[in-house]
Amino acid sequence: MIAISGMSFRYKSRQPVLDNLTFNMEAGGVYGILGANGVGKTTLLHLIGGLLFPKSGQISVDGHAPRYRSPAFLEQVFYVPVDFDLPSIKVGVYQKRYAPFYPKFNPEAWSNALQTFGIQPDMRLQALSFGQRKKVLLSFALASGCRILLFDEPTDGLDIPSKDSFRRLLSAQIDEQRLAVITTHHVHDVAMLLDQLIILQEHRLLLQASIADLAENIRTVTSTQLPPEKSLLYSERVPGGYHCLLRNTEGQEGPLDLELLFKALQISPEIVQNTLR
Amino acid sequence: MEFQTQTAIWMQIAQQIATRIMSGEWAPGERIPSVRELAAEVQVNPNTVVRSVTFLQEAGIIINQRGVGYFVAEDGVAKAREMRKKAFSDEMLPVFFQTIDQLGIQWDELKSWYHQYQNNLKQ
Repeated sequence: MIAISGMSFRYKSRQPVLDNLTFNMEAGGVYGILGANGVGKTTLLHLIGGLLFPKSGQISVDGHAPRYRSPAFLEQVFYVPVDFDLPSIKVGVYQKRYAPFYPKFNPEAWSNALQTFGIQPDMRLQALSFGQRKKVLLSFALASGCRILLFDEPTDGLDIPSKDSFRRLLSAQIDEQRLAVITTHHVHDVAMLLDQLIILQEHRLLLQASIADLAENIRTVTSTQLPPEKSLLYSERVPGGYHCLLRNTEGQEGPLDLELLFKALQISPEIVQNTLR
Repeated sequence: MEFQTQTAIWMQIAQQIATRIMSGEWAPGERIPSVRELAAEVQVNPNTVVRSVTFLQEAGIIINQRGVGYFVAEDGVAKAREMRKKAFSDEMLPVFFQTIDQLGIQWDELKSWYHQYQNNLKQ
């Protein structure tokens, strides 16, 4: 559904923000994009959404080149940025004004999401807190009917119960026709929604894998003692002992803590070559 | 060496559905909630729940009626108990045995604790 080939991007005369990326994203998937600050996660979302254009290489989104921003492309893509401005109008008016751009917009899903988040249609957007405005935009995205949903730090600004609501609402919107891409530093907030993982490191693609494939090869355990060295990939101290990333030699799938995996790969990126390929 | 091994999320969900079938929440022959409903309930990707129900189907605990949904098998309760028992012996018992060996706990000691536990339940 999204095909990226040899794509690079740089701002004027600077080092590349994204360097020679090649990967595909398929419909039906929920992709998590992880990477350190400044590694190019948001830039990648902007390139997918047609807000930035590649300096070299190709990107195709649902058969469209995003740079042309054709109506057929724009009506299928919704992007929730980490920070944004909304017009000074009422929540209900926002829907009336913007929903016509999205032919598959679902008013029922919109009302349901707003209600779940505790937002009333007669509230004024300019009077809402950042978190509340985020809830409005997330509600709109989840009701947009778009086949491609892009979320940059979707849980940023949400209070604790609203993170549950977001997960529940997004879970209900996942289907085989649709692709969701989520960048985040708060891995635990969205980990159980992801079925594909993309990790960027030093402006390049370090890892793309399905969570199921990863779980076949590695697992995490909490142990009072350090496990034997040959299976141990990474460990850190926790109150109960050690939180460890292990080679999965038992053939049985265990839990996988993506945050621990991310930390391990920051320190030892060679784990990808040695264990995951 | 002592591991607190936990199981994969899809397996935890399968165990949980089996537990709910054993408790009679869904009777034999009754339809269980859809994959989509179950996924939203615990806020996971629906594909994760697909793995759980596929596993339960292969274990004969639920039956798929194409286009209608999943139903509790006639002998689903017994099979759910079987599955939970296997998970208990595979996952919890090794940790339990490791711990009693490490602490030097005797069977008699265990027995008296178990009786105490049962008495507490009665009160």
